[in-house]
Formats: sequence, structure tokens, C-alpha cells
Amino acid sequence: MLKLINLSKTFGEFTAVDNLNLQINRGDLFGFLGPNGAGKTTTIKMITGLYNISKGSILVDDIDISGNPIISKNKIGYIPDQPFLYDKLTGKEFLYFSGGLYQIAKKELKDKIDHLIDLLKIGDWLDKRTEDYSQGMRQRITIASAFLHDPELIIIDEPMVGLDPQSAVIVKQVLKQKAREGCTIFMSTHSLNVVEEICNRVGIINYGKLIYDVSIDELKQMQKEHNHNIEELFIALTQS
Amino acid sequence: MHSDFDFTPRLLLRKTGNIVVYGLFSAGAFFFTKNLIDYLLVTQHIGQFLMHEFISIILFMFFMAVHVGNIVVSYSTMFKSEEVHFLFTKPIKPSVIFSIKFLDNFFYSSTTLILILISVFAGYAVYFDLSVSSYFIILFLNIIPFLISAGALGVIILLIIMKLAVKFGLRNIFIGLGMLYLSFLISFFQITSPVDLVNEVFKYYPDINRYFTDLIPPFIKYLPNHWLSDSLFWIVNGNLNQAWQQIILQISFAIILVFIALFLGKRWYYSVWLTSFKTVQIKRKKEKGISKNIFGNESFLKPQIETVFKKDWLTFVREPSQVIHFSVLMFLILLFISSVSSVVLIGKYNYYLQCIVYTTVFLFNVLLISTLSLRFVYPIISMEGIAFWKIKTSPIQIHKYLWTRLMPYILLIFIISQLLSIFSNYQYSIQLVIISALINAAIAPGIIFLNFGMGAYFADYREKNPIRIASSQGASITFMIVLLFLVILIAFTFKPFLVYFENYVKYMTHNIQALLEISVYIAIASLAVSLFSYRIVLKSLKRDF
Repeated sequence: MLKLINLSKTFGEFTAVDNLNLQINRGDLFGFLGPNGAGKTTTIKMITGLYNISKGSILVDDIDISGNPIISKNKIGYIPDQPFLYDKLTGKEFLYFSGGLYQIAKKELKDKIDHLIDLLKIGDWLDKRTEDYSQGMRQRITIASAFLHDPELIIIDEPMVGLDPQSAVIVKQVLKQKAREGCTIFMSTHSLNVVEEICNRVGIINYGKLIYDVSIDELKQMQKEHNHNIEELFIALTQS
Repeated sequence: MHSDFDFTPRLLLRKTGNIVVYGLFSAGAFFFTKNLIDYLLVTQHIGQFLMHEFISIILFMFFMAVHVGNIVVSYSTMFKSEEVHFLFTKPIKPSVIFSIKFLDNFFYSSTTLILILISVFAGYAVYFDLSVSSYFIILFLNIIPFLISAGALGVIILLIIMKLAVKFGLRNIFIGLGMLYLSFLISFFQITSPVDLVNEVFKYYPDINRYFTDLIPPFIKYLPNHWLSDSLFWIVNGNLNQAWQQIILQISFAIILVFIALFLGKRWYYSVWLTSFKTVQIKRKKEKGISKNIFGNESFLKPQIETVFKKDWLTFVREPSQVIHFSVLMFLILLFISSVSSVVLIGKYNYYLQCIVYTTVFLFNVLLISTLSLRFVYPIISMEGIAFWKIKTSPIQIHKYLWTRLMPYILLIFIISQLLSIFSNYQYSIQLVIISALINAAIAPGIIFLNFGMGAYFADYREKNPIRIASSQGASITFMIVLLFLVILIAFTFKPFLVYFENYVKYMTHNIQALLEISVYIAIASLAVSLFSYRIVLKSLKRDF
């Protein structure tokens, strides 16, 4: 579903992502780990079209995103690390706005918004302007907006930031359900327990290079072998 | 968003561009002023008194522009900014925050104007062969206090507005204030009718260089624009005693207003800042339901166009600084149209003077279009803010997005430009009205696209305040480019206009062939600027976000 081929991103002399090769299969819930500044957000921004690619290519469902950005963007739902919304719109207006960008018919859009209101428990404050929202509220609106067009690939950058425990549980359940439905999820996070809990594959990036790409079972095996919990193992892997 | 890593070549280019544009503009303003004074005094013999009275009227408009601009900017920076929220959580006295914001607003919104005035008055000083010390007296003891008075008065009025808003509602206060300003402006232009003034002064021709005390209405003598123009008159005529009287008045007025502003800031700012939330909440409750289903309504537009259009509409009408500033500009345009119809009657049988009045009115029209474009088109891309990620990651064609964003502004500004052409020139022949409408139609797209392109190139997605975006360094450069363009425009059109007026006054013939040709050249130049600017937008949007 998602292929990163010799992907690199440079900013002047600095190489943020260095010759990254990765393939994520349909239905995978892929956890993308790495210390701060490792290149996680840069990779995600290249996949979603927010950054230009310096070298290499990205294929979404075998479609090159540089050659066919519109077709590939139709397949992607993106949840950024900072849930910036249009302050003057209400949450509901933002969802309608997002649906309109994906050309969803009005009736269908209304049904989907109603469904997501129930799913993410966002009904209470949906008619308030987003400038009055907390970080968690904004995050849930962003998540809802990413699900509206039933994307085949969901790209998430730090989904748990600012979420209260209740919301975090809801989001984890929704992500697992989406993966079960055949949706591919590429999730960058610092929450190792979230990765352990919901992902089936894990990639670790450090200094722009992919240093590990293993299944969650293999990761658990490594934990056992080194007698580490997941935090200790992560630190050991990224320091070695 | 700009990356931290891509600073070197682009920054260097920007800085060099800034210096070149500022340099060119300063030189242009300097020579333009010098030549204009020469033209008015030597060719047209209007006399020093009349010229300084015209300066007084222009300064009055400057004063009002800075004053109203400061009210709007201060509202955003003193009551809406997140920085103020942050500062209030720190152990800093509210009066200190107020003073910092007051100075910040003043310098931010007046920098461009100060730069323009430095060059203009340099041209003025050189023309009259004034000493360097006289130039500095004009600059630092006259112009700066004049602008400070305008800024301080704006802040004082804003504090009073916010204080009264809790009791009477923000909207009612603004309506009341709008009516008050309207009556004041109408009174000013009725009292200082340029036509009457010209007629009265020319009764004394050729003795028109002296000071006509009786021709200055008493009410005008209490206004800072008059003190400034009067002191200029006396400096030029070597009567420093008289000049100092006006300068002292100017400085004293500025000091008094700054003290009142600081005093009210100390007494009211924090309490008014706290109650401003209540005011906004009351306003929001009243708004609820108005636009509840705007996105849910069926539309004949395609979904992507509809959704971008509706988002723009809501973000515009819900941003008070946009609505207030738009209303103020519309009001100023109406005022301009209503007052300009009498100005066009000046020098009916003097083709030189008629031509200069016509081109001045024409320049003002283009200047209004430029102001509207700078204020509302330049910030378009920046105003997307960091929420722009949603559009950038969605499957919408960039051209479709750009045209949807730009089209309402193109239509609006185009219509305004045509109305300006018709209503400000209807006293001339129909041929001249058509020519004015044609040239405006040719220029408007170029100016709009230039502002759009430069706004995208200098986009600042972190800045939420549209007025600050429209007063940023990039915006100042854009405005100066437009002004340079206007100087070139006048240089090319003045001669054909002069020939037209000469033929008309002498032989009553309307030969517009040359003017039509000029319109075609302007349209071609405007098209080239538009295409170039559009390419800048496309390139700018391809930058890393």
C-alpha cells in the first residue's frame, strides 16, 4: 500500500531522511518510532505532500505521489502532530469543509459526520468555534476529518499528544477497528506502550536512517532476549 | 511554514530586493515631490499659501489613516493577541504591557508612512533649499509628533470603545463612532472646500504667495495637520518665530495625548482586557445560528469551490479587523467620491490645471485599488495560517484553489475600480470617463495579482492578524513597487492627457486615439505582471510547509 524507495530529504547541508526504503502492506498498523529529530515528521510530511522530496520516490497503492498527487491524496487521510484548525470555523463547519475538499456528496457527508460524532464522542462542542477548543478537542476533530473520505492509508503524526485518557482509549479503538477493516495505518509516535498495544509492525528511524523494521512479535522476542521493557529496548536500539 | 534551513540564498535575495526597492522608491518620491512643487509653483503659479493648504488637506487624510489604522491594529494586538495572554501570566505590570504594545503598534503600522514622508520631505527641503537642521526640525519635531498624536488618539479612542462596549455592546459603539467620524469628515471637507479656497486665493492674483489668515477657517486652526503645514510655510519663508509656535503646539499636543493614553492604559487596560472576553462571548451568542448550516446548504457550485468559498466567507466575516477595516475603507471611498466631484471643477478653462486635477483624481483611484489589494489580497495566503495543511494535503488542484480564493476579490475590486472611475469623473466628458474606466480595468488585475504574488512569496503563516500582515516588510515593499508603477504610469499617460485637454479646451475636440493606445500598452504590462505574479504564487506554494 505504501512504498518508500530510496527516499531522502536534505535541508541545505543537513540530511534529515537518508535513503529510506520501506514497504507497508494493506491492513498493516505500522508504528514509526525514533528519537526527536530522527526524521519521522519529515518522512510523514513528504508522504502527505507538505515537503518536497529531495531524492527517491513514494508510491501509494503503486501510484507515484509526485506524478499523481491528486489521485494519491484521495487515498490518504492525514492527522498532523499539531492539530491546527481554522479558528473562526466551528468543529462541524471544519468537518463539512474537509468533506467538501474530498468532494463527498452532501447527504453522504452528513451521515458520515453523524457517525464520527458518535464514534469520537465530539457532539457536545461541535457547534463552538475551534478557537475555543482544548488541544484534545482539536485533535479529535482532526482525526474525524481524516476519516471522512474513507482513506485507504492513514498517516498519523503523534496521535496521542494532548488527549485525555478517555480520548486516547477511543482513538486506539478506532485505529484498531480501521486496521481490521483493511485500512493501512502509518503512525509516528513516542508512546511506546501504544505501539506495543495496537501495532503489528514497527520501524525505528535514527539520524534519518531506518535501523529496524520488525513485526511486533519480533520486537517482543527481542525484549525477552535482552530482558528489557520496551522503553529500555528502544533506548538501547537507538543508542547502539 | 518556512524551514529553518533554507535561509541563505532566499534571504539574501530578499534583503537585496528590499534595499533596491526602498532605494528606488525613495529616489522616486524625492524627485516626484521636487518636480511636483516646481510644477505647482513655477508652471501653475498656485502660490505658496495654496500649496501649503493642499499639504494640510493631504496631512489630514494621513492623520485619519494612521489614527483609524491604529484603532484597528491596537484592537488586535492589545485585546486579541496570544502574546498578551502570555504576558499577563508573567509578573509584568499591565501598564508596561500596554506601553510596549502601544509603541509596537505605532512603529509597526507607521514605518512605511514614515519612510514615505522622509523621502517626500527631503524633496521638499531640497526644493526650497532648506538647511539640514531645518529638515531635521521638520522630520523630528513636526512629522514624528504629528504621527504620534494620530497613534495615541487611536489608542485612547479604542480604550473608550472597549470600556463602553461592555455596557452598550461593541456593535452599537462602532455604529455610533462611525456616525461621529462621518459627520466630522463631512464637516471638514465642507469647511475646507478646495474649490472655494482656490477661487478665494485667486481673487488676489498675482499676490498669492503671502499668508491669508482670514481664509483659514477658525476650526481648522486647532488641527495638527494645520500646525504642521503652517510651520512648513513659515520655515520656508524664514519666519522661525511663527514656525516654532506651531511646532510647540504640535509637540505639546503629542505629549498630552501620549500621557492621556498611558494614564488611561494604566487605569483601564487590564480591567477592559478582562471584560473584552465577556463582550466577545455576548457577540458570539448573538451570532449563533446565523451561519449554522452554511456548509450543509446545497449549492450550484462544485463541492471543492463551494467549500473553499464558504470557508473564506466565514473566516472573513468572523474576523472583526477584516470587517471593520473593510467598512472603513468603503466609507473612505464613498467620502472620496462625494468630495472629488467638486474638485474636478477646478481650473475649468486652464487645460494644464484640468489635466493635473484629472490625473490626480485618476492616481487616487488607482491608489485606492492598491490599498484595497494590499489590505485584503496581500494577506490571503498568510491568512490560511498553519491550518493550511488541510488544503495542502487534500486532493484539490492548486489552480482551482487559487482562483476560488482570488475571484471574489478580483470581482469586488474590479467593480469598485469601475464605480470609482465613473463617479469621480462624471463631470468630465464621456470619453474621459471611458478612458479612466478602461485604464483602471487594465491596471486592476496587475495590482491585484502583484499583491497576491508578493503575499504568497512573503507568506507568514504564524501571523494571525491581517493588518499586521498587510503592514509587514513584504507588504511595504509591495506597496512601494505599486507606487513606483504609478509614477511610471503617470510619466507615460500625462502627455497624452495633456494633449487631449489642450485640444478639448482650445478646439472642443475629443481625440482619444493616443489615450486608447496607452490603455492597450497598460493592459499588456498589467497582463505580464499578472502572469509573473501568478508564477510566484505557484512557486511559493511549492515550498516546504
